[in-house]
Amino acid sequence: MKRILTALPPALWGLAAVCVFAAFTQPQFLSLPFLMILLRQAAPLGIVALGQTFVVANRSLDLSVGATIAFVNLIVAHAMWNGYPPALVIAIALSAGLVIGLVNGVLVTVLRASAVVVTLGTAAIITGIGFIYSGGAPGNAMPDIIKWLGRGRIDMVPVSGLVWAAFGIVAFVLLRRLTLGRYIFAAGDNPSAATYSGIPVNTTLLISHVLSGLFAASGGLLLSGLVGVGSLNLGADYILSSIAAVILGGAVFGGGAGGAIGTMLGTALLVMVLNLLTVFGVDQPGKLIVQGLVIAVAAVIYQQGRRSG
Amino acid sequence: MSALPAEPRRAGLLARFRQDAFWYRQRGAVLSFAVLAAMLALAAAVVPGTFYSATNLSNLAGQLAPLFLVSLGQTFVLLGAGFDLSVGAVISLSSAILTLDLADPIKIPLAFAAAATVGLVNGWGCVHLRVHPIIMTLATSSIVQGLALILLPTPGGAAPGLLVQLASGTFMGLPAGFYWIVAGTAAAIWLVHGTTYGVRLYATGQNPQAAWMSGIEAPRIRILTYVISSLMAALAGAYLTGRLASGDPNVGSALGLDSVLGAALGGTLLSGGVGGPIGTIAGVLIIGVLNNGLNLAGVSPYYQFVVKGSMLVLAVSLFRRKEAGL
Repeated sequence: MKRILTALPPALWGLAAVCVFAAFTQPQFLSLPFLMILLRQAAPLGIVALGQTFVVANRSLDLSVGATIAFVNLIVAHAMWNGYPPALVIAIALSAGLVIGLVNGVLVTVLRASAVVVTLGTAAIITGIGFIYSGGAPGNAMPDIIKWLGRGRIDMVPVSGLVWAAFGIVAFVLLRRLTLGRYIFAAGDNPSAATYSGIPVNTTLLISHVLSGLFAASGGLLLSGLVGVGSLNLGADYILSSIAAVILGGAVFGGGAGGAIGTMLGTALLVMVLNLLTVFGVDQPGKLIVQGLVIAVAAVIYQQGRRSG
Repeated sequence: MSALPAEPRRAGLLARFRQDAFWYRQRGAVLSFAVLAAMLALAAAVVPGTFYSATNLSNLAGQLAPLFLVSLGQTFVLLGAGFDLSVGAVISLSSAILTLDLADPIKIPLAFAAAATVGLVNGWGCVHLRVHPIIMTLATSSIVQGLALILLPTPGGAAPGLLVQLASGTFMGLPAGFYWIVAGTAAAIWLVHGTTYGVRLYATGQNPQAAWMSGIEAPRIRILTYVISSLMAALAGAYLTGRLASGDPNVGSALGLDSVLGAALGGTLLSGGVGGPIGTIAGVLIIGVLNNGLNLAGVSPYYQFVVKGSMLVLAVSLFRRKEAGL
């Protein structure tokens, strides 16, 4: 029983507490239409965080997700794609994420450079290329289908929420139902032991980074659709938020815990807490403090549970 | 005839150089200084008159002083196998505290006390609660940034007169920033290479368990690295506040990650126990000369991003480690 309890992501308890708190203080917060608005807002971050889960579970980090989102946004908003089929634009945006992830992965595994520094470096490069490509003036020619993905609704359910769910299922299968997931958690928990057990540690890490780049690009696509225009600094705050969501979900640089469901709950908790604070009229500084406290408390609780369990 | 173990081959000069503990740890610094020398030579070839002018060098010293201070502080944390993402927020917090409506003798110590507290919390969380350093300092940086914004919602306020005097103007023909750099660097080098604390720090960073079993108070050493890093950040905040003569609650945001770059480019490994403040001098100067040189050469800021990012990736690729990852 205790094992089951400690295996549950910290975000679950937080989410339950936030819902109970909201039910007593701001009941309209839990109404279905409002939750659907939250879902639409959470979906882009949710997908980016799912990608971040792969690298964090693999004891690495991807700080280039923010730049990837901005880059994807500049691609899909550029006027040069007018007249081309939207599927091609989406394919190009996703391949950009794939290439970024591949470059990160190669640098981290083949050159064994620090992931923190490498992904910061590639983030700077991508930002520069984005500026050069857009000439510093982001376009606003975005295919309607991308806008539909980001803001559209089927009945009441936001399309982006469904996309998030689909990515969640893919991430869950990759992490918990396929050998790749076993490899990722094993390599993340103890790289040397994994190497000696014959696990292709480097290939696994490379795939994790590629997945992170791909997921970041997909999240960037949804966010672009939600915003609807090109913007030079889109996604900058997603770097830390995505890591926070992963931590709240329980995946902490190896250790085998966490995963797709945990990260989705973590994203939901983060978005709910920040929106609840808005309802209470707490401004940006207060949100920063609460966000920091939530991350710290989740990490400490998780760590204590691990030590005693 | 008893089988004696073969006499070890007399090591050649290069092999002895490789085996020496000091040079083993400073091998990255050697490379960094070589890169720096190449860049200085390049600057002499491309923009000789402007780069090596007195005005430019003095500007460079003034701009680089805060990065020097935080990178040196970050070097301590990295040597202890930690990571401090919160230094940017601590700079901002100290800038906010230093421009509060309080008497100078109260707010200057208060800023440093606040920074030391952040360092203690970071160290306590990472070492005793065993939270991963990146997570712990990410959380505290969010909290500290929030506090800074509450104390000083918008840039403004008046800096203490003492700091304005110390951080501006020239003294004996050299800019004030130069003296801050020299003082910070000398203190860091003395702590790492001139005290037993430095010896224990390297031992702890290389292998905390082995250090603990050798009687080194590894937890205390590691907590102290976070305190040193926060105090250096507060010092950088004090310099920036004095130089601008007013406060800014976001003044440190870019310096947090740059401090890791400065240390990493100087050959300090993020895995702990290798590198040191001497290399950080080269690392910070590489960043400074690169920024300055690209500006002087008239390179578009868009291309500067690409060049800087590529340089960064190239530089860290030179320092291969045993394992891939963080």
